[in-house]
Amino acid sequence: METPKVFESEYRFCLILWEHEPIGSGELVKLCKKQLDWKPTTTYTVIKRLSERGILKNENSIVSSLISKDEVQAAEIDELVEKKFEGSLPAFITAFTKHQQISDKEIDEVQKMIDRYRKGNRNG
Amino acid sequence: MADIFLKFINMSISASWLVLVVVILRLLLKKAPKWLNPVLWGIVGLRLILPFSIESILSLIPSAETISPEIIYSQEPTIHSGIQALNSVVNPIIMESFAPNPAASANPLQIWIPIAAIVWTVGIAAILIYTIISYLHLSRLVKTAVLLRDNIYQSENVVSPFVLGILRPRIYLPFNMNEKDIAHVIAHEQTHIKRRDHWIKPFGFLMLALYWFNPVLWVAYILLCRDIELACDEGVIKELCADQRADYSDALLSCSAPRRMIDACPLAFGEIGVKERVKNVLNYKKPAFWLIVVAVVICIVVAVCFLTNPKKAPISLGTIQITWANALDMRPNEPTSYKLNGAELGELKDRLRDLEIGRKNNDYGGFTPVYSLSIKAQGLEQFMIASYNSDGTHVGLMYQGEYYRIENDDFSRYLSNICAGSNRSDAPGNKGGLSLNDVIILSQKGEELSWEDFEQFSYVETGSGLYIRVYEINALFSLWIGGGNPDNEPMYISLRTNTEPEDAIDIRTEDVAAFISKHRDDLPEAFISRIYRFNDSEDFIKTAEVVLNKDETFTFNFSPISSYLGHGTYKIDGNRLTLNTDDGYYTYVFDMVDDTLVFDADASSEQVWFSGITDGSVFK
Repeated sequence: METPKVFESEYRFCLILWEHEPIGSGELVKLCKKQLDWKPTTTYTVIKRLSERGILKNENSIVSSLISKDEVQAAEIDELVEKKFEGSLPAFITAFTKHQQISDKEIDEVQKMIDRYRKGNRNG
Repeated sequence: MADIFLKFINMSISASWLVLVVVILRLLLKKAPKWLNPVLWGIVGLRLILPFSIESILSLIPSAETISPEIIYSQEPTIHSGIQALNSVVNPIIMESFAPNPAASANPLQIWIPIAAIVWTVGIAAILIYTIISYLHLSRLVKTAVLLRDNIYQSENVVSPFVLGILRPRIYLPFNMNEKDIAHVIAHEQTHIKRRDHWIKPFGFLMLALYWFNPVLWVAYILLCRDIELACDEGVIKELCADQRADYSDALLSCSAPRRMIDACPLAFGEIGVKERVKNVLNYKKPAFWLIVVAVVICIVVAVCFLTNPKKAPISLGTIQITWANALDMRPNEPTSYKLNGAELGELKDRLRDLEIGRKNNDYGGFTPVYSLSIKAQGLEQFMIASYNSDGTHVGLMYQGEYYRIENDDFSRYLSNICAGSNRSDAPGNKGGLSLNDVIILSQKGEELSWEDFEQFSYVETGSGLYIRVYEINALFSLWIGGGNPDNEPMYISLRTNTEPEDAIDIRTEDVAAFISKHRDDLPEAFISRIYRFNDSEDFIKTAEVVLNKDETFTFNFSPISSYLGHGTYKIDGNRLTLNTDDGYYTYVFDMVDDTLVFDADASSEQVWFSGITDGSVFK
């Protein structure tokens, strides 16, 4: 199933949710008031909207996520690569590494990911 | 509603003159500090909201009431823009299109102005409703904006940065801005808030909504929005060094939003005229001290000259009811003077109706006019329209000791001619007035009497269609001859009393002597509402005049060249007429003999200069 689109302000809300879930909706309203300066009605509207899109569920006033932070991030990257790099991962990596210093440790991690990916593909 | 609408039209016209001045000043003062322009627009705003304004001789507003509320009922609707050239172009068109049709039940303007007022109200409502809806829509869009810090919020629904809110303004930014831009953008928006631009702009828009019918104010609003941004940029970059200014320009460029429709709010960052703004930012130099002084002085001058209204003319010449007018001309060696007849009064009234009275000006206080018209109108003190030089370039209205300029070449020519009496077929002195004695003698001709018998006397032609000639005899009597044509036998030759026109006899068949003696006792009443003139000597200067008005007031002028004009109230006691001046200093007593006044010097106050009036002087 494709990960639903999460807008930037909703993402900020989700960050709070992921940190504190499962969380009572009343508590969530308070946190959103404090960190985002949202009115309670705004928070409830967003909870409803996100639950309709299958991003979270609100059962008995307890809110918890249905999609993890990793999944949303991955979807964001997919969209970015699709939109800006014509779906080309190497083009994306080139652009990314052009301005960013990458440490040896990070390179090792990426190497391991690539190895894992190769093995998985061959076996599957 | 129509009255309020006309008030708004007049206020918008006054303000339009000011807008014109501000637009010109903007062009001339490109080098001046940018905060000057919003201040000038503030003066325009004041002009638009203040329903009343003090009058000042310094005012440069041509007219505070271009369209009089009476225009609805006027037989000849005209505007008074304060600019003669404009009036003479526009007024004929207005008269042509809107002059009342006597057969119609209502004047065209009585219908059109209320309709326009309704259109105006509906327009205001439409603009306000549209604005409220867009405001609600925008605030719903940014409801999910998340707090960055202080009053700064970010939302994916924001394309370019702006300020929203009146009481607690918030700055809204898009998410994807780089740190360098964000700092400049926030500085810009905070400056807007500090300068209260988030109040000025909605206020300006409210004015625009109220005055939506005036295109000049749309221009003003667009320029105001531009000037607000320039002034705000100036406020920000004052604090920055040259490098930072370049960055600030970058931020302006990267945030420039596509031009939107005219909006009440919000204040956007890269909103208007980015090119001009970048140029201004990069060329910014701290304004010289003297430029700041000049800017302040300009603000004060504009405020004084354009927030005040011109001194209103004390008389609305269009509506006065003239009772009599007297022409005086000092240009000939022997000065001439005569009383205007009915036809001349008719023309005078027409001329005065469109005449614009200019601003008050006391340059000619105390001067003696070269030629003048003295005019008495119902309910007004006697006033004078005079030329103070022989070429007619200094024409003015004198009223209650104040002089108001009249600048109208056409009228000046008319005044010169009428005072000279050059158009009179019966120039003064050519023809004598008809006397009661003449009537008695002529009446002996009986049925033989014809038009020619009266040709030698001065008369006023009043008929339209029919020929009707009126011969004034004295305060009480006048002779009227009427008929289809002066070649035929007159239909009537009637002697009438002025007090009761129905009371008349035809002198061809009825007893004139008996009619006169029957009315002998009516004379005192007929004394009233006329002029008595004393001119015993050949010396023109020694012509004195007493005017008795119906409302028991009088004016007493000792000489045409005397600036003193006595006025007050009179009493009639039997045959004695007593004038008391309003200042309480003077009393003048006359005996009423036949239809004349005979001066009683012993019972009166001491005499005043120039006058040749002595005991027993007869005023006719």
